[in-house]
Amino acid sequence: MTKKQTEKRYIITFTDSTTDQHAAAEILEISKDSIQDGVSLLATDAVLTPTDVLHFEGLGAASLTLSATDVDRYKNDKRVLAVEEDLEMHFLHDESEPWQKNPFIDASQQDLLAQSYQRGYQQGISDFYQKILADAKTLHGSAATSASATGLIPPIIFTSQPIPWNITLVNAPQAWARGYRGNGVKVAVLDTGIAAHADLVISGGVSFVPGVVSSNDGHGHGTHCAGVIGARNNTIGVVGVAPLASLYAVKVLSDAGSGQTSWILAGMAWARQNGMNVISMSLGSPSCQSVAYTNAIAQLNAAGVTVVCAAGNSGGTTFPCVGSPANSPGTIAVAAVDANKVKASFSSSGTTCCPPGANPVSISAPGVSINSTVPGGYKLMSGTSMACPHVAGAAALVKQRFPTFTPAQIKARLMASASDLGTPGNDPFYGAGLVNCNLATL
Amino acid sequence: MNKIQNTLKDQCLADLKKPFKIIVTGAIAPEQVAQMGLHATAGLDNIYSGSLLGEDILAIAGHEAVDSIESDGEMGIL
Repeated sequence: MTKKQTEKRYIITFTDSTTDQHAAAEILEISKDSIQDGVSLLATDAVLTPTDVLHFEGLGAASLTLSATDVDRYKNDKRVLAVEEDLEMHFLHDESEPWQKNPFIDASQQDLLAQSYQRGYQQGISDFYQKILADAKTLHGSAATSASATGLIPPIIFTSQPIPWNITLVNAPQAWARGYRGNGVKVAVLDTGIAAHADLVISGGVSFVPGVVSSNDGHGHGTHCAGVIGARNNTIGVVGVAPLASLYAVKVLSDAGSGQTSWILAGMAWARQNGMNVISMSLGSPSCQSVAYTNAIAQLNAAGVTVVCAAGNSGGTTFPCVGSPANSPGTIAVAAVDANKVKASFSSSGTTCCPPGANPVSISAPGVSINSTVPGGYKLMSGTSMACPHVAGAAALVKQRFPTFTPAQIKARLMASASDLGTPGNDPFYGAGLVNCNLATL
Repeated sequence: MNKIQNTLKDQCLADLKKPFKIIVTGAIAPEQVAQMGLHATAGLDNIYSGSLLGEDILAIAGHEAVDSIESDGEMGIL
């Protein structure tokens, strides 16, 4: 597609907000190879060229350069909700100052900028209204026609986000209602990677698996954990504990689901160097406390990184203890409970551990039959791996609520606000009890 | 003090000429890190990795700056 200088860049919003990259390419009638992941590209220093076509996973939108003919064609495509000029946006200032004066441009340009902004806004509202009206007519037939003729808007049904039981159990929606959704908090998922998914927005990624450049998830485990932490609050699938947290895919496990300690340490170092606030490690082995992990975790804590680890799945075995690295001091070790708040039989517990006094179970979270994102869809999974990201998400909410809290304070806050389970008080099976996002963010 | 993880020490003693992947901690001078055949972990202080023969692992355990030697063990999803 040759682009002339006069052509402009547009944002195309697809009717189906779950439109993935391949489907977007089909609608735009371009080859699948010529469309790129916009979030990943714009997160880099790469300079955008007029021929770049970007798709924004999870937003159902694409950005590309179009001619006037192209604009008309797409506007008439039922799979397209709106075609809008890719306008430069500015922060909205106080109402007493309708338009922020930019000292670097003159008054006439100021006015043009303001008019352009208003036109774009009005066009967007107009397109959206027309679309809603068209949908309403489809839904309500002639009733809608007569209603609009009399100036009445027919009832429009918006589907809502299904809230999984596990998200309700940890009282995340109550924290959201008070504005704590993980905004501005960076959470690194050290796992098998994270796959592109309509219910996830991935802010960045890196791989420490030798020979593997991409942080994509060819296993599913990392994507599942990522969904528990931060699946978006939209109308599809599931929602995570901290739906507005920024997710980072740190691939330290191969697509077979395993990795060397040195890869994992490299991932932890990356999290420290890149300003992560929380890392979620749904990995480990049934082994005694490691000096290397203990040292690494201490360094991450000192840098302000809260480390959340799955306690382990060795309950009922010859090594029922909390495994490594969860048994290192400085981590939040997470046990798994079911929908009835009963400890899962597989969940490791803090008894007879090595060395004596090793970090015990800190807290519990849902970890049995958890529905979350996997490449291409959703799946139920069980394990302390699934419990861990609930607490990582909760830690993100606490970090947003108390931005100056250290990792030790975040851990203490989560434990002090947990809903007690098992033997009254802290115990080796449930730790402080079930994580409670509502109380933790009060 | 036993600096080498027990199971690793047994493996080294059983086969001195076999290479083992290890993780070493300690405030080791940079030039000594290279001499030992280790690599620093970028972004983490005093943590090193490498692949050494069993006899070499036993030898570096005698170095004063070395705190611990552990197997570069495999971790998995839980």
